[in-house]
Amino acid sequence: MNTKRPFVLIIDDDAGQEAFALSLGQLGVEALHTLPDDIKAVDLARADLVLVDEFITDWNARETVKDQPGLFVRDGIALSGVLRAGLEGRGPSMEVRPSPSKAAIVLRTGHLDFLAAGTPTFMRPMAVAGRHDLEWVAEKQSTPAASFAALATAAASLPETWDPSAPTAQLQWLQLADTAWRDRALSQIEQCRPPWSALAATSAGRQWLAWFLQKILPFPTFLIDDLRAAAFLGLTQEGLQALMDGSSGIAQDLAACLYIGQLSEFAGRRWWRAGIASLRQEVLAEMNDGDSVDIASRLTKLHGADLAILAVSNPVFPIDGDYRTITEAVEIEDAVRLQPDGWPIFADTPWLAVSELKNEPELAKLVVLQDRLNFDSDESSDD
Amino acid sequence: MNQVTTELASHFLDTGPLLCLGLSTKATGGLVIADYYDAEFLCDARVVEAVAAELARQASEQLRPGDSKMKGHRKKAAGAAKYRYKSLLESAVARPSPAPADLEQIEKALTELAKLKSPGNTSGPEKHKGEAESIHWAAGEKASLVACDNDARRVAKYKNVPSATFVEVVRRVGRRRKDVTTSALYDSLQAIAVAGIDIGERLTSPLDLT
Repeated sequence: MNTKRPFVLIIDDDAGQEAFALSLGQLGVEALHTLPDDIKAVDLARADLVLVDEFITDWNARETVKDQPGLFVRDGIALSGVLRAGLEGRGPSMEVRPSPSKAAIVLRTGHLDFLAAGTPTFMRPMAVAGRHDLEWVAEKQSTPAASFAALATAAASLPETWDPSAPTAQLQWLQLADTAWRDRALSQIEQCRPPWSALAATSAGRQWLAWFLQKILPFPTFLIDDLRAAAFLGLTQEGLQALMDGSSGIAQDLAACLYIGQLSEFAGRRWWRAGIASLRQEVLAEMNDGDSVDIASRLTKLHGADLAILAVSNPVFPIDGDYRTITEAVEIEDAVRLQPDGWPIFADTPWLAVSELKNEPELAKLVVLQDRLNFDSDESSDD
Repeated sequence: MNQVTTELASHFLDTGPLLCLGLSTKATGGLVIADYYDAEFLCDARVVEAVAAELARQASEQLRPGDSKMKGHRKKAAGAAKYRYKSLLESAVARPSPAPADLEQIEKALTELAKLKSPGNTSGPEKHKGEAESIHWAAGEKASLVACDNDARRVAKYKNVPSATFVEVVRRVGRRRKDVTTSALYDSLQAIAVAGIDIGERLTSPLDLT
């Protein structure tokens, strides 16, 4: 068994980052802070996670080449590109055969709003990471050290082999247990188009990590957050928590649906969609069919105490102008579908409440054609 | 629900799925689920007269200024279904006369379930004739019921009649056809749901069609 602690290399011109390295050290990973001039090949080679500061102003050696644009590394994104080549052993000529590295590079910045100006807040990390071949972009101030430790562990645990017909290691990485809904979960993973063949193999799994961080965790996909899991069961988030905190059999069934794989706390608690859907199905079958309100009533009975019920028969969750989910559900017929840039096609549809069409002109531009026509047209029958 | 199956076999269509099929033909630039349903399952479909009558009633409903847009969508859907499924509707199965006790029992069960849901509801068995007759005939002919209404499916189960929602029918389409993506099916279903027509199940992502 590999007992080596994941290694995090922090590249930052701020000497105060030593303290950050120490705090990471207390979270089960090894961390080293270094100034850009002091990066050592041996440290880079053993890194599982490289954290790069974006605006590196205190970098004396760089100043000596400031009139040579080919050598002048302007910022952390540019440095990331250089380090990626180093990690993979690319160049300087074709005689050196590159080998993929599974080390993740994460831009750690206090200026994401500047870097992603014009991009809705929710989409910023994914937009910047995708644009610059980074695994993730993290806000310096608001991202807890534990998230970086989790990232390092996740990168270090990436599988060595990539065969979609036998994805045992991948499913272990996700900790998909042998449950009754495993096949359904597997099918949903597949629908989310994981890069688990050539792309993953040729990137040592780095593409898989980027996909998971940028396309899966931020959006409701085969993993869903509390809000969506609760809605599946006709409950509010508080209702779901109360159910979870109970000691009934249904609480145990619910606990089995919790995602406990890599990065399980990175973006907040997540649930297996297939598990929650199966739980809903079982409850429905027991009570001989019904709707969301019926499911919630049944769960209340099984729980043995009142649960906060959502009381929306066909709930959908709208987004705001920053593409953040509004936690108040609306009925599906009171909403229209949106098609924002960068929103994965396999994720839950983002919605806009019809009542907000006039208040959110930018979002209104993103309403899908069919719904736009529905709400613009004269409703009289043409038959 | 959601069994991994591709079969539908002999089935009775309630008004809800017919509205879904009808509205799907009005899709703008999207996939027409009715085309796939017709190719795969229409040959095994039947309707009862009460369903045909309800569809005709909804198709000819006079809309007044101020009526909800949803009502307009229903009228549009009913009109489209009436046109598309003309021959099916013309061969609708008549209500047995006199009504057998079994049918009256089904009607009573549906009425009681509706009252349970909304205690002020004073509607009588007339309102549930389509569902009741569909369940009655399906039970007699060992057929299944396709209905979006929960109560109808609940009573069907009680009568040992297998049932499916419209979403479940579409799931079967997805499993049978290699020429259509789950995302396209999902988009078409959501277009119907957004128009206020019950598709029988809550969907929020193409993944829910697995």
